[in-house]
Parts: sequence; C-alpha cells; structure tokens
Amino acid sequence: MAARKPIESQRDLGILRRLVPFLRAHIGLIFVSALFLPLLAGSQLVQPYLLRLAIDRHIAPAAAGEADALVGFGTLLTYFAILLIAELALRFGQIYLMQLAGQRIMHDLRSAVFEHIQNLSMSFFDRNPVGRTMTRVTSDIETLNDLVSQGVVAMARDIVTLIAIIGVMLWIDWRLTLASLVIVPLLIGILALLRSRLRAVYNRTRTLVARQNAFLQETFSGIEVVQAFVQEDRNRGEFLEVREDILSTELRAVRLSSLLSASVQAATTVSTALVLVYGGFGIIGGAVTVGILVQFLEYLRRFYTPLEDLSDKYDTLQRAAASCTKIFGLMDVRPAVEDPDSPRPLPPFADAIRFDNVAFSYASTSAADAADPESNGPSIFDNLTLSIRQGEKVALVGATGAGKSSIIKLLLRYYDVQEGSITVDGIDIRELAPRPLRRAYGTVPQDVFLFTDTIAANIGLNSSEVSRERIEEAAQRVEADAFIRDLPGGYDARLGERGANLSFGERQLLAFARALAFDPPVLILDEATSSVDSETEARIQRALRRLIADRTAIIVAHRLSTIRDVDRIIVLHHGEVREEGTHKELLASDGIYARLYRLQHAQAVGPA
Amino acid sequence: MQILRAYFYLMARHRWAYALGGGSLLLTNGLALAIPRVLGWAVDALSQGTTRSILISYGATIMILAVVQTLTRVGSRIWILSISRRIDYQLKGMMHDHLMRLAPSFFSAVSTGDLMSRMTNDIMLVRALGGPGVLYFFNAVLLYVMGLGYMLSINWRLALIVFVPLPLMAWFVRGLVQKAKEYATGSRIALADLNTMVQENLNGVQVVKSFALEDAQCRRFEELSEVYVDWNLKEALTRAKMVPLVGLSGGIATLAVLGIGARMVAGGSLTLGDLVAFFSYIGILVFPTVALGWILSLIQRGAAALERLDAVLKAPITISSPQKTESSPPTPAAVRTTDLTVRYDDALARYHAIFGPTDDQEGGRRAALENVDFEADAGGFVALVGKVGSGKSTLLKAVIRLVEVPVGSVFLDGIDVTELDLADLRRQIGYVPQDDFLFSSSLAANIAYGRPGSGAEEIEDAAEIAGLVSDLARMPEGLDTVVGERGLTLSGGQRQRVALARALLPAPAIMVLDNALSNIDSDTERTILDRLHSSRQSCTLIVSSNRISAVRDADRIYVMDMGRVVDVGRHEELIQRPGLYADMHEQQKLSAELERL
Repeated sequence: MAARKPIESQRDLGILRRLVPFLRAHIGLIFVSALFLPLLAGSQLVQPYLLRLAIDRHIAPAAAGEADALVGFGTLLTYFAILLIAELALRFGQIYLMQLAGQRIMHDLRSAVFEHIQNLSMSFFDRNPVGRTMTRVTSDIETLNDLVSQGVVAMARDIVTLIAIIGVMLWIDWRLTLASLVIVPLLIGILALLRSRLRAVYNRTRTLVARQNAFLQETFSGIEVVQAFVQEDRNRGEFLEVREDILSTELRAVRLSSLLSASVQAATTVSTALVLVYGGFGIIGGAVTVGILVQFLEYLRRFYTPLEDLSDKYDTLQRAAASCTKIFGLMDVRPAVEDPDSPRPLPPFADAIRFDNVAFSYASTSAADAADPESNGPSIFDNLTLSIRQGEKVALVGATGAGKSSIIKLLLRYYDVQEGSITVDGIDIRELAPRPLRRAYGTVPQDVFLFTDTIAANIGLNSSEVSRERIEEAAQRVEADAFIRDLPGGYDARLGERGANLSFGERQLLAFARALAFDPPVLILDEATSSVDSETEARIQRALRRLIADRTAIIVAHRLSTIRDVDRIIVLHHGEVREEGTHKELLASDGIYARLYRLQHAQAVGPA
Repeated sequence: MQILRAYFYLMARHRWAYALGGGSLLLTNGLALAIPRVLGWAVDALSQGTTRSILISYGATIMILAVVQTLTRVGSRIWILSISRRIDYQLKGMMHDHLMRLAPSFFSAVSTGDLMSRMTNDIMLVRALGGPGVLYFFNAVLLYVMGLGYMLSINWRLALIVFVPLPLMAWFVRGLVQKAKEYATGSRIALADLNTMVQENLNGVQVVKSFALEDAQCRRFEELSEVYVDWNLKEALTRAKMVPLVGLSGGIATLAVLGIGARMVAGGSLTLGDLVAFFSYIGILVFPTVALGWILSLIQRGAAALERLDAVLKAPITISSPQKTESSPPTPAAVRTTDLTVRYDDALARYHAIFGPTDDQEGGRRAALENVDFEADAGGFVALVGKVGSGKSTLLKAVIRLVEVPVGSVFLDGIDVTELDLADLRRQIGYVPQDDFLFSSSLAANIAYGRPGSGAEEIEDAAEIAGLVSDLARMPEGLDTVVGERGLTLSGGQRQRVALARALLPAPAIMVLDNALSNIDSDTERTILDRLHSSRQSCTLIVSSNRISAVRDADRIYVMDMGRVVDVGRHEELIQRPGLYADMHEQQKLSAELERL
C-alpha cells in the first residue's frame, strides 16, 4: 500500500524532485560551489576581451608599423596571467566541492535505502528476489552517483556560461551575434532528433545486455547440467543469437552517436565561416575591428562545447530519472507488519504464549496475483487455538503444509494474523515492538544461514551483548568447540560463501551455539528434514537437549528422539490441532500419535 | 599472452576497415587543421584591406572544409568503433566457447560472480581499448603531429614554444593518472565489499530479523559506505588536480604566443593572421591534451582487463574426448570402477596458479576418492550411502566424467571411459545432480532439455514416471508453466522431480541419481523408484541416498566414508553388521512415519 501515487512514467523528470531533501542536507557545500560558477563564467568572458584589447591596442598597430605599439603590453599580459591562474584555481575548487557534495548525498541516499529495506516485512522478501533488491541498493544508486556528481556540476556550469557568453556577445554587437548563432536552432533540432533515436537504441541495448547476462549466469551456475546433457552446442547457438542482436543494436548506436558528435563540430566550423564573412564585411566597412572579430571567434569556440554538453546532459537526466524511479519506488513500499506507535514493554515470558482463534493465510506470491498486493493465498489456519506455558518443551508434529513453520513465523511476528490474536503473558504481540519480541526468541531455522565472517561472528553475530567467553561457552555446551578448534584459525576462521566449507552437522551445531549464546527465554527450533548419518544425528540430539534445558522450547520436530525429550506433543493436520498431550496421554488416546509410536516400536523389535 | 594473440588476430581480420578508418581520420584532422590557416590568411587580408568577394571566397573555403571534414570524421568514427563492437562480439564468442569445454571443477573454483565480471566488465574495458581508446589515441597523435607540422610551417620558433610545456605536463599527468588508478582500484574493492554485505544481508534476512540485527547492520553498512566515499573522494581529488595542470599548459602556451608573437609581429617576422591562426591551433590542441589522461587510463584498464580475460583462456581443458575414440557399446549398461582415486587438489592448484587464490575454500576438506572399487551390473540397481562428504557424489560424477578421472579406472561395459567419445558417454547416462538446477524456461523445455525436439507424449511420459502428474494438474498452465531463475517458484520436491524427468526422458541406458529425491517423502520416493525400475527394466540404476527406505531393495549397497568404500552388501546383510548402515536404519524409522501423517 503506497502512501503516494504510484510512480507513473520513467520518463517523468519530476521524480528528480525527490532528491531535494538529500540535497538540502548539504546545501552549504552546494551553495559555495555554486558561487564559483558565475566567477568562472566571468573569467571565460574576460579572456577574449583581453585578447581583443591585445590585438586592437597593440598587435594590429604593431603590424601596421606603429612605433610604441607594444607599450603597456606587458601589463596586459600580466592581467592575462593572473586571470588564467584564478580561473584554474576556481575550476579545481568547484569540481572538487561538487564531488564532495555529490558523494555525501549519495552516501545519505544509500544509507536511507538500506535502512528502509531493513524495516520492511518478511512478505517483501518473499516476493522480491534478492537480485532485484540488490540492484536498487547497488547499481541503481551507483548510476545516480555518476550522474549526480558529474552531470549536475557540468550542467550548472554550462548553463551559466552559455547565458553569460550570449549576453556579452549581444552587448558588443548584436548583429554579429545573430550571424554567429543563426545556425544554433538547426543544431538543437538535429541534436534532439538524434538523441531521441539514440536513447531508444540505448534502452534496447540495456535490455539485451540484461538478457545476455542472465543467460550467462544461468549457464555458469548450471554448467554440470549443460555438460551432462551434452547441450554445449545448443548453448553456443543461443548465445550466438543474443550476441548478434546486441551487435546489430550497438552498430546502430555507433552510427547515431557518430552523427551526433559530428554535427556539433560541423556547426562550430560553419558558424566560424559565417562570422568571418559577416564580421569581415564589418571590418571592410569600418564598423568592426579585427580585435572584435577575433574576440567573437573566441566566444564561439567557448560556446559550442557547453551546448553539446548540455544536450548530452538531457540524456543523463533521463537515466537519473529512471534510476530514481526505481529507487523511490522501493522507498515507497510500506512494511506490512507495522511497529505500534507506542509499544508496550516486553513482558518477561513468565506465563504463557497463546494462540486464540487465529485465522491466517500468506499474501499470495503467485504471478497471477502480483498486480493486487492484498490478495491472499490458501488459508493456513482457520481457527487455531493453543498455548505454551513457561518452561514447557513442546513439539509440533505433522505433515508438510500442516502449518508448523507458519506458527513459528507468526510467533516471531513476521506476519500478522487476519483474525484472532497471539498473546504473550496476556499481551497481544501486535502491541509490542517487533524487534525486542524477536530477540526474546532464540531461533534455529531449517536452513542455517552463515555469514562470510569468522566463526565467532557467526555465533555472536557481532553483538555487543555477547562476549567472546559467552561464545566459546555456548559452543562448548553444544559440542561444537572441538571441531571449531580443529579449523585453521579456530574461532577466528573465516567461512566461505554461505558457510560453504562446513558439513551439515557442523552448521547445525553452530546454529545451536548461536541461539544459546543469546540466552533467550524461549527457544524456537525448526528441525531440518534432511536425513544425516547417525553419528551426526546423535551429536545434534545431545546438543539439542542442552539447548532446551533451561527455557521454554517450541520445536517443529521430525525425529523420534526429539519427541521423546519434550513435555507435550501437538499433532497438527491441515492447520488444526488434531491431538495434543504428553507421550503417555497420546498413547492412551489411541490416535495418530499412538499409531506412529507402535509402528516404530514394532520396527525396532521385529525383523527388518 | 594468449589473449593478445587472439585480439590481434581479430583486429587483423578487420584490417581494411582499420585502414579506411585511419585514412579518414588522417584526412579529417588534415582538413580540420587547415581551417585555422585559412582563417589566418583571411584575417591578414582583412587587416591589409580586401574586397568582399575575396572575403566570401575565404568563407566558402572554410565551409567546404567544414562539410568534408564532417563527413570524413563521421566515417572514421563509424569504421573504427564498429570494429571494436565486432571484435567484442567475436571475443565473447571465443570466451564462451572455451568455457563450455572446461570441467565443472573450474566453475566451483572460480565464482560465478568473478566469471560474470570478466565476461561483462572486462570485455567492456577491452572494447573501450580497441574502439574509443584506439580512436582517440590516434586522433590525438595525429592532431599533435599535424598540428605541429602546420605551426612549424608558419613559424618554427613559436611552434616550439607551444609545444614545450607539453612533455612537462604529460609527465605530471602521468603521475596523477597512476594515483587515480590506485584509488579507482581501492574504490572498486570498497564497492565490492559493500555489495557483498548487502547480498548477505538480503540472503540472511531470516537471521537478521529473528535476532533483530537491523540496527547493527545499518551501522555496518554506513561504515562500509564511508570507506567507499573516502576512496571516491581521493580519486576525485586526484582527477580534479589534472584540470588546472592541463589548463596551465594551455595557458602558458597562449601567454607565450601572445607575448613573443606580439614582438614578432612588431618586428615584421609574423603577420597578425599567423598569430590568430596560432590561437586557433592552441584551441584545437586543448581537447587531445585533456583527453590524454583519460586515454591513458583507458589503455591501462584495458590492458588489465586483457590479462584477466587471458587467465580464462589459459584455463586448461581437463576433460575431453580422446583423439581416437573407441566406439561405445550399443546398449551399454555395466559400470565398473577399479582402484579409482580422485583428488580435487590438483585441479585447484592449477586454477590457483592462473587466477591467484580463488574463493573456493572447500579444496582442502573436499572428499576425494581413494581406491574405490565399484560395480553395477547391466540392468541392476546399486546404491551408495554415507555421510555428507563421504565421496558419493564424486563417485557418481566420475561415472559420467564430470570430474577428471585417471586412465584405467572407470569402465563402461569393459571399455575405459577415457577412450570413449565424451558426448556419446554422457548421452548414455541420465544424470540427476544433487543440486536440483533448472533453467528459467517452461517445465516442458526443462524436461526435454536433453532432447530438444521431443514430442508432448514423451515429455508427459517422463513426467508421469517422475511422479509429477498430480502437481501438474494443480498448475493452470501445466507443462507450459515457466519456472523462475534457478527454478525458484517450485517447491524443492517438485524441482527434484522435474530434474528426474529430465534425466529419464532420453531413455538412457544408465541412470545416476545423486541424492535426487531428498526433498520428497520416503513413500513417494519408493513409489517413484519402483516405477522407474519397472518401466525401464534394462536400465542400470545407480542411486546415492541418505535414506534406507530408498536403497533397501538394491542389489548391492556400497557404504562410503571419507572417500573409501567401507562396506558392501545387501540390505539384509548390512543391518545385521554393526556400523554406519545399521545406525542409519535405526534412526530413520520414525522420520518416515511422521511424513506419512
């Protein structure tokens, strides 16, 4: 649910206005840097004037044979030198200041986007592939980075320069000015035409390159499959097609951009010819001096470059607008699970956690429903009621899809229920701030995620709450200490991408250590379904027992040994509680659980 | 450098276009540089008094020069830049072609990200080198040389004055360009660090949220961003310094020309028009001077990129068909390994030598195989069990030669697989890898991947055996449903079944399943395996699994640990003997039951 109107067209330059708050923070820098601009423009104007003076007062008379033509010339030269140095210093200062401002602005924007993402709810991450979100934070902002720091500076400078030059030229001789600039409208028209064609071509290139990259990425990730099924040639063929498309588009771009840059060059030279002729007539007629002619030629030289630059910048602005659209589109996404305005303090988990008449379904993630962000998928719970008392160890058991993992996600308030409520010590969790609530649960998910950081950092998560001692202690309690010390570097050994160089069992133990290190009042464990060898199994079980010993534990269980260790078993089926009770009670009630147990018992004693 | 040879070869194929481009560039610059001369003559004529018609003829001359010069300029740009695009196209093809021949071990040693960077960024840098780099470089050289020529023709003393500051400035610029390059590298690394952090943050969102790490992550992000900003500013400062430096040389030249030129005009050795011409030349030479720094950095980066591309081309092809191939048996089915030993370290060492230390840290701890004797009879059903890392996958990959195997270790119906044509070998074997990789296309396309022309019937048949029928019924588009990147929108179990269907569609003689049904409950798994066995009776089935229920009917079960075979036998025998197998059996009884709920 966007708080603003959805961003319509990527062409809409208005989106750039959203950058203004970020600019405001650095207004001082921008202002100072902007001050330099008129000064720079001024120096651009004065130099040709000095040149004219040099010619008219000294050089032309000298050529004509006058005697003291060069008296005072030295002073003129000195002014020239001073002006030059001043201009260079100003240019340097202005470029650097604008870069400084630009980088700071981008830093602020980048941090704001990242922070915003951190505040989004789980449903956002369900729907949006990592790659796409990453592009927002990284390459979209990078594009903006380049454009802002170079584009904006240049644009401002160009506009001021152009206005100044035209102004002065008009003031000196408006007829000569017209002669100089008569070709400009034509040039602008040609530039506009070529640029819009070029833009379309660049867009197409971008799309094709994205396609090419996705293709390569897939090929490399799935190279085993490509080779195992002997499809290398087919792969080559598909790549060839993509390459050919890219080539033909790029050749078109080359043709257009060459025409474009040549037009400006041509315009400059043609104007030179026009000024020469018209100005020359003026000289012959005595109305214009050679000095003025040369001055005008100098101005011309300094005119067309900023003009070409500016037309270039329109493109730049378009690309900036496109990036902004994507970035601010993300910024407009509101988190589905909102923090309460005035959260109540976190209860001590002294009493019970309850689900009362809970109805819940996930927001739909299918492509068909993507257009409507409020549509829901199939119902997970219709009317779920259960409670877990402090200190109790509860196992949730059931087939896939029965709702076990969903219970955990609701407890952690990754999603909010549609009906009913979830309470802790009688307080509805929607009245609590989500983060402290989540910290109260030590969570061990099905797939353990490890960071490319040290083992210690993976256990303690770089938190100031967890000391090195706590980390090692936790590792010892779950029997992870031994294998950690075996690794080169021990606790400071760095893990590969996604914890690539640890075995499954080792990753599980690390996850346990992680939960233990934070010493939470409640433990949530979503047991992995992958079957492992029995030795690893036994280690995990022992570690688990230690983990749940001093706290409330909610375990989504898949192992007999786990179920044996708990106080109560809740059997879920299609989102309902089918049976619950202790091991003895359930056996006596002769239901699903009893059947399970007997089967297992029978298998253990009878012949295989 | 292999890449240079390849690159020059490609460039040579375009030599006529280069010649045309170079020729027009010559012409363009010649004409462009002639214009100030004409201008100078016109100014002289004006100061000495002239007629309108003479003036107009000067104007017209300049116009014509302008128009012709524009045409040749456009031509030169189009020719030269087009070449670079074409070379780009060919180079990408060459790289891809080579990559297709490399063993999978290469792709796990060198991260996909690194490869992608080379195929995109580095190729782009090389293109910039061969296109704009070449263009602007030669343009600059020509401008300087011809400009110098023109100026010398007017007045050699003045010409030298214009040119003297240049070498000095070039030297300073060079130093700055070096510095800027270092900072650019630092900046790139800082950006990579930032990106990695974001990627981890997003991939690990569950951990971040469940441990409420959001604030800490934001702080860390800001730290990394500050580092990046620092590098960028250092680079910006360095580049900003180049501006006054370059401007200074132009300015000194202008001042010198003014001062000394004025004297010369007074002395009569120089005309006013000549002086004006000189100013124009200074103006024309500003751009190449400014561009010099940029061109140099372009060349540097292009050269570095070439090296990185070279590394890929140098990667050795370790798995290939032999020169002389043995003909494969008509319907092979028996697989045997004798004393098979596979080590990953050699391959990794080779890659490290070329690429420097790679991201792959598994090398030291990855399972090798040691002295493995393994046998699967034609039409039989053989299973492998063992812990993660015991070597099961490696053994299965050895059969299909997705890892390098020594000569005389692996045999298909008695013939050494290293003597068989590689494509033939692989076509006989239906392989389902552990990682259930699917392409982003339709289910039908994925299932028919091994045999692209397959008809609907064959596809449906394979889907049925793989147990996909009920899932397909629930999908509105059925077999035409498009699967996302890496098959994301399907459940784990569904992906595995699709991968299975893909492997069995070409009806291969041997099916190799590497933990292929781990995300499917054991009952369904049994059903699928039974159906597989009964529908493809002559097919040899080699299955690796962690589930006893899947392997209990196998003719022979190999128990593996640490790359060795530690036990062999039938299920009934193995559960009697204490050990790995018996333990697993005990453990798994209830899990299976739970799933049945």
